[in-house]
Amino acid sequence: MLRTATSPWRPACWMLGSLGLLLLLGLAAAATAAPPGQAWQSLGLHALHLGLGLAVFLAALSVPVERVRQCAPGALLAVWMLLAGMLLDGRLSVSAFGASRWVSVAGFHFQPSAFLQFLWPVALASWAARDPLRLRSPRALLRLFLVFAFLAAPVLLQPDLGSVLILFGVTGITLVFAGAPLAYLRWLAPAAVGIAALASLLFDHVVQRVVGFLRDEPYQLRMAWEALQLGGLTGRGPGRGLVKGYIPEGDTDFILAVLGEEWGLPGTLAVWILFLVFTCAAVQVARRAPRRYGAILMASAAVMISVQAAINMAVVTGAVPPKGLPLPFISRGGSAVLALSALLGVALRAALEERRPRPVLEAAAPGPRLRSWPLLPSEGPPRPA
Amino acid sequence: MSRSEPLRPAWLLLPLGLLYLASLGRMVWLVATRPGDLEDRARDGALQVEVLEAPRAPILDRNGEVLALDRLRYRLVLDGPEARIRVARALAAGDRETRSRVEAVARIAGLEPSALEEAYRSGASFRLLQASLPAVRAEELRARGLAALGLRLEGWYERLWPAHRGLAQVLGQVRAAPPGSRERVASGGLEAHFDARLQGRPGLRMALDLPDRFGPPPALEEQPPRPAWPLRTSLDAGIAALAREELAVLMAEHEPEWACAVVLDARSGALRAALTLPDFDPHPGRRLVTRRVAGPDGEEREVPVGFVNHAFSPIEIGSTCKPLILSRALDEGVLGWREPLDASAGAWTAGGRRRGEKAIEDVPSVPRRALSPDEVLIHSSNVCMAQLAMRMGGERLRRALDAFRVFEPTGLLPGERAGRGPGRRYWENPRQAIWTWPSVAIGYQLEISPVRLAAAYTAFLDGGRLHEPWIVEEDVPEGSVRVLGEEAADYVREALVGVVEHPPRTWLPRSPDLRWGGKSGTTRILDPQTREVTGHRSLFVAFGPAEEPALVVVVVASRPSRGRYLGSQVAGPVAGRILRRALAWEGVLPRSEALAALPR
Repeated sequence: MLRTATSPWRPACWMLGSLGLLLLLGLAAAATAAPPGQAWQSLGLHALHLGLGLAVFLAALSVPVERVRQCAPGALLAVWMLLAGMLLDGRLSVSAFGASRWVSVAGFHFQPSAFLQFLWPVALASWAARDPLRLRSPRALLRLFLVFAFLAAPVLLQPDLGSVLILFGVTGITLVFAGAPLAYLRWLAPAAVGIAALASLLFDHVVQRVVGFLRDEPYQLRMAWEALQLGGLTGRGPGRGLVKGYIPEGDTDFILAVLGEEWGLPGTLAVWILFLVFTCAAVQVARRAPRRYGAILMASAAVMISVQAAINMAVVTGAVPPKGLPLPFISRGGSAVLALSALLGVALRAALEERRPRPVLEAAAPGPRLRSWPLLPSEGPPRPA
Repeated sequence: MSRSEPLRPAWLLLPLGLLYLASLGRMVWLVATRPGDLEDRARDGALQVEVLEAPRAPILDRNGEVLALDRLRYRLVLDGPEARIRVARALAAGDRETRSRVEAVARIAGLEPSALEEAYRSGASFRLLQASLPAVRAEELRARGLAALGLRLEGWYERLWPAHRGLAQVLGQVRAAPPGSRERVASGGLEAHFDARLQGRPGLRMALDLPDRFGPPPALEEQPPRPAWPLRTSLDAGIAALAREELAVLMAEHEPEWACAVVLDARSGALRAALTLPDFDPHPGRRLVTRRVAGPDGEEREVPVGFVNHAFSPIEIGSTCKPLILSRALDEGVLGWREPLDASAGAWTAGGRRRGEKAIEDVPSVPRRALSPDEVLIHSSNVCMAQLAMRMGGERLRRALDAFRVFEPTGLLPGERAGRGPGRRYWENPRQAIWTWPSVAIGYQLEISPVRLAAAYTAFLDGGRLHEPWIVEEDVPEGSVRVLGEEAADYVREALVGVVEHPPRTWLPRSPDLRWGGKSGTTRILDPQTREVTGHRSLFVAFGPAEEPALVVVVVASRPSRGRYLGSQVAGPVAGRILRRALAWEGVLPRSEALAALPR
């Protein structure tokens, strides 16, 4: 295998290295965020989730990309049917905190909408890579967004507005990244605002959260800030947190605050830096990917993970209004770990997979695909050196 | 945007980068603006200190019988918001398993299943379902897994007084204040007087106060409660019960406003019983005896009676005071052993009797002749005592009464008032004194509690040594105090036996197997405004056996309303019967007599 300055292997190593460190931090956080006396239990559960995630990642890495591309639409349809079924029949879902997002199988709860985070980018990248001209066609894009609305509707009705907005944002960024004209971006922002407005009409808690954030300090945020402040520069030490028990969702969405209290600013900075390194490395992998599909999917995966991490950190520190998003690979929760591991595995395989040899005639014939994709290598004929 | 724009990915990631930068800025800002006292505030808020209540120490009588004890009970509360919501939904969805568990719990706790289901549906985050469950039920409920149903058992102690009959006023009461709360307040009696001693040392459990999802908080430090040692007393549940029985007979026969009895050990001052009827049942929820009393506005109201123990309240003691004065006069040589006092006039007044002037008179049964000192007591001559008082003078009289400590509170129970006598000017002003001294000598204007009176009489029964009364074994006064010479004490004791054995007093119970003595007293109750007589108070102090006295019994009946009111007629027979039965209980007489009702 040829490894040159433009080879994706080096950034891939950085990406996997930073991810490994994040996983270690996640294990440490799981142990310290646990109630006193339950550290090993919590650590074991999180390790189990990460182990399953690793297995899924390796499995995804070993499956040929073409097969995944072929299966993605069918799997998407299956997940959609499950989501719709949960809406129609309450017995299928398990409720918590006013939302019905979980399905219980053999005592294990998982979140079907989390698998959209894996399947939708795979399908989207496949759609964008197959014919770059589509990205310039408003009609094709409209059809794409109609499909997206169809898929996202049951998630929105769960209600899980945050996941829908994340998927929407990732879709927009991926499309532009893949070559859609930037001029179309102007339609994305009003569309996102429209979704938010619609959701605020449908769901009271959305408005309440924003108004509460702007008017006074919500309890959850206040406790998270206290935790970060108590941690200070050095932290209180593992397992010695004072207010961690008071932070609602302290072991999931607000685990950064627990880390901040017990590991101090170095702990939170480490998370911040590692996610930044991961994002930059993943984008580099995408830029250097030999195949168009791999590039788009890698970029989509990077954005998917990085956006969630950035929003989570911004929420915990109070930079933006609260939104229930886990910190990828660090927060407790198996569904998200499995979905993101699968996405990362498929994306990495796609990004590292060498181009297939093409028939000479087809390769020699210059086509419109080359012109439509100036930045990323397309699946068309190889570019001249 | 140009198609060949090379920085597009970087531009796309710019918003993301801004988000990262905002997070970093906030992280640093929060650390930089950390308040100085944040750690203290957080520590105070997180540390949960739970006080583990120690059971109150039991109170035992002198035979080890339990007079009061704490019993562990449980409250069943619905206090698990998340579990409550889960169960409520399961019930609404018709989940059979959940319903059967709820029904089983309701059955064990003695609740209607529908009431428990309603509690789940109500949405209340906390609800008391059952206030008092025995330990066996609590164990059954625990076996059902209460936490999964959002239920919790809270232990609490309930005070019981298994042998309260005749001792309720001495023991006092412990009740929840306010009702239904875990805080308990002791009121009256030994419970209040030894409240701190009985409480023992509570334990502490310090833990981090964690939310529900963390489960029960792990204990950081735990000091188990240390119950106090049992409070051993001189009381005797058996004597108290039989005294109460006899007082109840008195209440039925003479219908007084109240009647009280004191039983004291003559050789040690140990209080065996001190009760008043009507009394009360200290257990919560029991009906109180009430009486209609006119209020300040003239309107009559029902007020509870039975809480006041008149055994510890000073009252005018009447002729029961005479042995105290006479014995001291004999002991100090003011009166010779065979020196007669003149009772022939039947009345006495300062400087000779004049028409219309008030006088101290004897009842018709007192012989109109010179009486020896023992006859003065046997016939209870007021005239002779008036003469003796004038001979003794104010100073000696005061000293005589002070020697018997009649004005000192015993300090045995809270709220006790000290005895009272006439004010200084009545003692010292010659115009007042000539009436004050004779009055005091016959027990008028002297207010002494029955317990104090009983203690004063122990001086006649133990060779002139006065025994301070006591209840708690840890608080026994040291030794006894000599207040009389042995000769005077024995002389008065024999005279008091003569009081009972005086042939005309056939109403006093006598028997060949028990010689006993005593002294009656009758006082008038005056209206404070009009000074008119509104009723009488009948007293009798009894002791026995005469040869080796073991017990002193004082019986008082206030305002007897069936015609008779003389102390020897109303209180005397009851005192004699209590004495006899108590002596039987002590083993001095055949034990069976203590249990069987005596012939009247």
